[in-house]
Amino acid sequence: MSSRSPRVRRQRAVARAARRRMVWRLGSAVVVALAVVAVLIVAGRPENDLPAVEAARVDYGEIPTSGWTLGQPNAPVTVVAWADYQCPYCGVFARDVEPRLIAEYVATGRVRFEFRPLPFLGDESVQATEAAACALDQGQFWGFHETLFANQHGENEGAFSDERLRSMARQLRLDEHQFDQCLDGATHEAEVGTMRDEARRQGITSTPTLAVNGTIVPSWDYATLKQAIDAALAVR
Amino acid sequence: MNRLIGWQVASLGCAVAGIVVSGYLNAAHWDRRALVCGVGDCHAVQSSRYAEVNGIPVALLGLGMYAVVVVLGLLRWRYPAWRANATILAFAISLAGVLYVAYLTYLEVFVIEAICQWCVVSALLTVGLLGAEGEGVRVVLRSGT
Repeated sequence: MSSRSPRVRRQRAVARAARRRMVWRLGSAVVVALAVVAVLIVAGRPENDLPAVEAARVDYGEIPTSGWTLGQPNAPVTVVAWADYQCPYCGVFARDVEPRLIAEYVATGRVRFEFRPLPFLGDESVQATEAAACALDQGQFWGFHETLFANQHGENEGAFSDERLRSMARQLRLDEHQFDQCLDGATHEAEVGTMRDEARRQGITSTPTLAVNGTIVPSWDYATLKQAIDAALAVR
Repeated sequence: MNRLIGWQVASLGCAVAGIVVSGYLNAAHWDRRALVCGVGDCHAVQSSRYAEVNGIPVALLGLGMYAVVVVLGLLRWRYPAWRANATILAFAISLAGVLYVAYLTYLEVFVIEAICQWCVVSALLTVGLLGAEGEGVRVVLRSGT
């Protein structure tokens, strides 16, 4: 038999009820916390699962390179290509037309090929171009250039995120520390901006745009380009 | 004047330090040149695809969490009647913080393959916060207020 007074029992019952309410609130708060974490994890996952970065295999043999230029400096014909690393047709040009141009004309000393970036499709275009300039600092421009086009995936969807650009640099065996410093320090920001402005001043409004000895080629397919090059070679 | 007790001081200390660290990471998110990294590769982590949730920097979420815990800590200190509810809420927030930080650490180690020293500091502060608030919940449940 209990010796406690009704008042004490009532007080204890009230305290027990208060504790139960507190435990209930604690449980509810923990459930809400778990739900918030689940939402953050789901919402934070990248929208698209990009394929793994794969470095392009580039072997230009004895072809001389200088900056953004490939080929003999005294070649009779100069082909200039303005392109954006995110533009899909620039990708087609780089993957399908450029290798044929290099094999047939650049490797044989008849054409000097110059790449001029025109990054206008957004932040990732600019970042990719700056990364290519950082690769150029380490004498690896062309490998990086081909790797960028080989890893195109949409526009501003993460294909050229800093993380993936670093992965490209790593796979191409660039000095990672130097590359990181160059990219993070936006070392080539002004230079890339100047190249873009220069292209616009020259009236280049779409990519890819090609010029053979200063004359704009009406189309970027290989047949048209070849015709323009052969015509330029013929007048030499 | 109400006095702050041990676990409340620890919680406020961790939260204020967390505001400093996450504030710095936020600044570095917008200006990568501001990011100084002695150990690991903060740049790879900060520029990864996981550094934002729907456009909101993860560092900003951290800053928000620490700021709310500071506000709750000050409220329960100033108004003792709010102690139980504020402590339960702060505990739940820091529990969510620890779980999310565990996920982010997993991403750093196994997906991004880079460690950000400032993120590690923030993770440790979040664990400290949970420890302090866990003690707070124990005290509150025992006293019933």
